[in-house]
Amino acid sequence: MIAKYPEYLEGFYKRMQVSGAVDSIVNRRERKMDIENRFNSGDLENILFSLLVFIMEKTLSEDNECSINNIADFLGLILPFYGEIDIDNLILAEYLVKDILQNGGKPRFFDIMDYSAGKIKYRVKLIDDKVIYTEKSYKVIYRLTDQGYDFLFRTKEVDDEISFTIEELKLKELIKRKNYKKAVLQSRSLVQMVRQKKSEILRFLEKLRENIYSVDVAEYEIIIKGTYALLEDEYKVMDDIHKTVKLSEFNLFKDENSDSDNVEIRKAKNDIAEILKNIDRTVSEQRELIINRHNLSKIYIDTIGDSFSKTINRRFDIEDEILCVMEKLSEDKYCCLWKLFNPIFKPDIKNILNLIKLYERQYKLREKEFANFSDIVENLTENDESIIFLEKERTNAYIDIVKNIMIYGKEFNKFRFSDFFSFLNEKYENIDVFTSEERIFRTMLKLYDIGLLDIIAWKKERENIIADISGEFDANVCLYAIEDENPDIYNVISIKISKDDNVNFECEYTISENNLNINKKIILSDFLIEVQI
Amino acid sequence: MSELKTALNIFRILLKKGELSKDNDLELFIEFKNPDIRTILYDFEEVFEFDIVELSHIAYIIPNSSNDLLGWTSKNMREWLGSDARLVDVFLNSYISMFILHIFYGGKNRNPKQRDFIRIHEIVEKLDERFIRILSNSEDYEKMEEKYSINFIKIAQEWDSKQGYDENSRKTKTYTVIKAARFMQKEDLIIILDDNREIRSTSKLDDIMINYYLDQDRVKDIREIFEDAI
Repeated sequence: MIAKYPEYLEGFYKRMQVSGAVDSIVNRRERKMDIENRFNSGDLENILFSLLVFIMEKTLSEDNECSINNIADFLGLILPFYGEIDIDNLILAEYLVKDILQNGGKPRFFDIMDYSAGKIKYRVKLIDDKVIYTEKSYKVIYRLTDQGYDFLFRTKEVDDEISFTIEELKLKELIKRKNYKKAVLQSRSLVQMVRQKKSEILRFLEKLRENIYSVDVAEYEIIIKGTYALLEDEYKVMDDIHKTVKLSEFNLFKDENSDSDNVEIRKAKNDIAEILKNIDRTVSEQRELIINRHNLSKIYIDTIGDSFSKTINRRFDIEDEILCVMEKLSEDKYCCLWKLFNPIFKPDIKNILNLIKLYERQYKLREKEFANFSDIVENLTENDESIIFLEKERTNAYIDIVKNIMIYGKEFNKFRFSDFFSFLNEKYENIDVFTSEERIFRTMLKLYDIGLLDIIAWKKERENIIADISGEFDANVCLYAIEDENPDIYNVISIKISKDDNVNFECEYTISENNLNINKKIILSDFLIEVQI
Repeated sequence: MSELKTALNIFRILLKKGELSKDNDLELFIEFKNPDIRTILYDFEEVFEFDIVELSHIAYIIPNSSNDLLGWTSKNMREWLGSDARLVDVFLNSYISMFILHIFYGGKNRNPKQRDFIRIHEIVEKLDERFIRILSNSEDYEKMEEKYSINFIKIAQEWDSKQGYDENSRKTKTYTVIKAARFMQKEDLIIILDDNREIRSTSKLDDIMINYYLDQDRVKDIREIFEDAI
């Protein structure tokens, strides 16, 4: 049973929410002393608060994205105010955002006493992030959470729920008093506020889609009932203000006609134009938000429906059911591990519909039908491992050749095959792996046949390409393997192989086969290789 | 288009992308809700041994654990890890992947998702703690055998023998974790950001883990995987 508490402690938890926010900054965990020690006492707290204001301004005022680079630039701007601090802006930005404000990705809680319900663990999260998929890679952008906005408004602006009305009243009064200069600023802050509402709703939608369990019913009630009711009221009020401004504009027009040289009047006219623009912007964004209300309700109801139909009443613990069991697993059972991942991996369609598998079957049919394949069959059945090894060695050689062309090409964009061959000779003690089966020469002929290996185009089409791992040279296999090691593929755009004259490349080398040394002489065009970075 | 043809089209998209989303395949997604087409898909689910996890805006194809037709096999994993991959590497890769899932979704409350992102160095540190704990108990061998298999002690030693970090070397703990992370990234489960320093779960992984994978009812299935393995 909960004891009686004095009435003045009603809603006390709201005060403590502010304490929680302050605590997350002042008593920050994940401290890195090598960074902290470079600042005077209190400086980092000031910088962190400035940073929060910057994130708010960046996302609201300019309706823009706020990346870690934007934050680093901002820090570069304000750091001189704190003296000469020797630190890389980007390193500081990452520290302040990821380690402090995001607590290293871990949730941070603050114990709050709600006298009507008991102690609660309040999650403090002032900023949130979102991964944006760009054409080439991913980008993370940051914005304030509702909690963050609430906190910042409480530290400077007035209480959120009445602020909209107050801002509007201020605007009305300023226009009445013909203080257009201030009214322009006031109208800008209205645009800012409606954008805050907009981003509040967008964030709620994203949260809803990402993980319904992170959304509170109370939050939905506030958004749907509170925010939209407020918006609808404001929409009407804004209409009134629009009329007032129009009237002022009309009066100014009359004044201007009577005194066309008056600079003050012209200035006021410009201010009025901007006020009207801001009011129109606010009204149109309000209208858009109100229209989207039904969408939001539908998404919420659908997602809630999902969560009911898919409700998992009890969840198992990966630690107990999987990790601890894996630790006791005997080696002969390791082969079962793929089954753990089967439900989360994509279906391996290439495995089912790989044409190579069809060829493998045809090969076996021949095994029965043609006696002259017996040698090959014998090799296959008795010495599978060595054949597999040879195929892998061959494939690895092709990959290394293409990779080395890229590495050499980074230094010399345009070069002859003879130069490249010398480069390999210097780099590797023994280049038998490349000359064996004439691999390097055949690779060059294949690449010449391809003409232009367009890596940018390959990256775009890669999902639709099925690599041929049959042991023959296949540029796709090479590019997949190189990408695995170096996701940017050494920043190579294309490789072009051509021959523009009759210059030949000649080389002689010795290979050993069945205890015999065989001399080989190769003559082929001294191809021109162009690597575009 | 006949219902069968539509169902086949949906199946094709599910096989190709692993998912059918309202945003990318609106028409088929609407058809997917058609009970007649859903009935055909139920037959596919039964014959091809998979489930469809259906949310309001997206549906995922989930091959059953033992489905080696649509799913992965240990051989695939070995091929991906490289031509010289050993069974130990396959195990370590699986263990690290599962460990990453544990860090992300180890929450015991209503919302199991615990982390927005994880730094690679943090995973290395946590694995270090785990393996060092095992190796530091090695004097009490009998007790250790009770708790871990001999093979796992070898795995811990294998991990311990790796260097911490060296940009140019593949035989480091950091590279081993990145390799496991890349494997998961290839499957659209996580994304690696910040120059290989940070990972985040994708919405696909969140959806599947929260709405399917962690269900207590699957424990029986998971136990069978370990018991039946030969």
